[in-house]
Amino acid sequence: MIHVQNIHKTYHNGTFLHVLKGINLTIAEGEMVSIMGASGSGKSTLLNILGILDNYDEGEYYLNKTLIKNLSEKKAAEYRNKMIGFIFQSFNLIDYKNAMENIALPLYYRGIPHKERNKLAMEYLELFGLKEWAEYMPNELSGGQKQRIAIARALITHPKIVLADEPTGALDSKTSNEVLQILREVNKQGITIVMVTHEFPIAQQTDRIIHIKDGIIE
Amino acid sequence: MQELLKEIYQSFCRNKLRTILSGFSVAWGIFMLVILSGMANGYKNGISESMITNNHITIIPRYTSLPYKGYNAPRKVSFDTKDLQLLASVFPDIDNLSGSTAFQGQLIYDNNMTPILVNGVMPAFFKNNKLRINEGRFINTLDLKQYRKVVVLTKSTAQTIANKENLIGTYVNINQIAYKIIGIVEPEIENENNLVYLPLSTIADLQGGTTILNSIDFTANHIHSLKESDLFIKDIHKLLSLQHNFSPKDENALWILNGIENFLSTKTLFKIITIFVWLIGLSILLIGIIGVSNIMIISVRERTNEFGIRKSLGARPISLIKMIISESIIITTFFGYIGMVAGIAVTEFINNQIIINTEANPNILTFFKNPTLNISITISATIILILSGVIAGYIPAKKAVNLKTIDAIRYK
Repeated sequence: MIHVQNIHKTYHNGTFLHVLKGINLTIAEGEMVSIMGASGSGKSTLLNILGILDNYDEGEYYLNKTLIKNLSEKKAAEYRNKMIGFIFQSFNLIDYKNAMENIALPLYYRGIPHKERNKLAMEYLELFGLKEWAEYMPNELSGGQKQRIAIARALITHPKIVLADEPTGALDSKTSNEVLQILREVNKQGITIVMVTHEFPIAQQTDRIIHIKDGIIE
Repeated sequence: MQELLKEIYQSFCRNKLRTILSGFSVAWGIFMLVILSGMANGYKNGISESMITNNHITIIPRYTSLPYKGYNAPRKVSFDTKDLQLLASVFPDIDNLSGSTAFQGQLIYDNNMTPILVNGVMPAFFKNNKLRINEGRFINTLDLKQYRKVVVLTKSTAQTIANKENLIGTYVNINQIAYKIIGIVEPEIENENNLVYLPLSTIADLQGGTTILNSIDFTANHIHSLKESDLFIKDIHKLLSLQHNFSPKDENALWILNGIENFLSTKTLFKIITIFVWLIGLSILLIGIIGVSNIMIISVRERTNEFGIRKSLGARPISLIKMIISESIIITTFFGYIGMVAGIAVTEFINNQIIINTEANPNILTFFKNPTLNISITISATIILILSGVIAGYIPAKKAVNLKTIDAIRYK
């Protein structure tokens, strides 16, 4: 599903910062993988490259056998919408849209009509036990509820992979476990999951742990 | 569309005061544009009403001053109805061609005799001489074609011959022939003579098919410059000199009253006024556009994180551009229409006051009339508003699109 070959990434804002120094990585379809490493190790950068949110300088990245390199914004947006679902530590819900509208938003960019979008979003809300919260705004919801909505939003387009950046970072341990259970369920449906975390107990519950240190996989 | 409007409404709610303030400058710009062009229009209409501003040409035959082809000078040049046909066939671009004849006559009504001046005219005479209908109608083409014995009186003539109303449909006797009264008109300038108007063809018919013309009138809308006008007048002079056997160099033989020069210079003046008005209006509007653009830039910056999220969910650059530019168009057109409606209300109010004043005192000479806007200005204002929105939204939209997705998501 994911094939990364010798990827290099350097940031140059004033000084040069060589973040990724030749990453080689293969993740099979249906795997649930976690990436661990110290802060500044390059784990988030790698995840952003996998999510086509950032570009890389050298090497090759194949997502579902498609080479992802030097894409136009339009093409990148299309691939993100079709193949990838994102889950963020800070949820990144849009604060002036209610739960249902937030879940339905990716479908808007797919050109699906209003009614159908909301119907599908309601199905996901029901699935996640949040049906009564459909009309609530993000600031009226708890962290766990917000993250479940974010997961629903990531899944509504039936992506090939779900990328999660510290999905439990802002949650207490009980809610963290609930979210992780949901992700496991999602994975069982055959969706590949790549998750960045710095909590070992969370990482332990995935199929494979990738350790990254100073821009290289250990 | 519904989604788009909702998002724009939500964004408006977040920056209410700022949006209203910058929207106000757009409204003010359009308001001033409407008021100023309304004033310019009113001035234009007033001037056209009180001055000869059309491209009207009158030709009056006079005496020759040069001997020509064995004819001695001075010799009277006289026009007849054949000259009308000649002019119409040689200059097909001229409009409102009309010949007129005039002679003394006697009018008998109710056994009272009144000396009158009889004018034999054609329908275009009405427009060329800016007559106004008081009652009934003026002489029309059918009267001419059928040599009808009909007469139109001036208001003062009507008052002289009879003190009663409902003269229309009754008969008067002019030079021993009965004519039916079909209308009463008011000339632009009151004449001391008691004037009546008969169909020119009727007079010609009574005189054996043709009649001498005192003058020929027409308008030349195809003339757009002084140079063209000079050439045109020379051509007319030449044509009539051939027809009436006088020297083409004889300036004295014809008296040509040319309204074109006046018309063209007034037209240029109005053009300058119009350009000036638009310049002022548009510069005020420009300030409004900059204001809207400014708040849009702020709003884009505040929503950086949101744009990042949208991009990660698959928003293409075009959808962000569409969203921001539509928002900007809606702000400018909404406030612009407020300004436009307010401006139109003011011009309509002024127009109303002028109408009331003119009715109270009809002899007042107004240099200001109907200061309202026509539909074409309203349409161009709408186009300008939409364009303003696009211009105001362009830079903010560009900023939103150029944000790197990952930086935008992390922006706090």
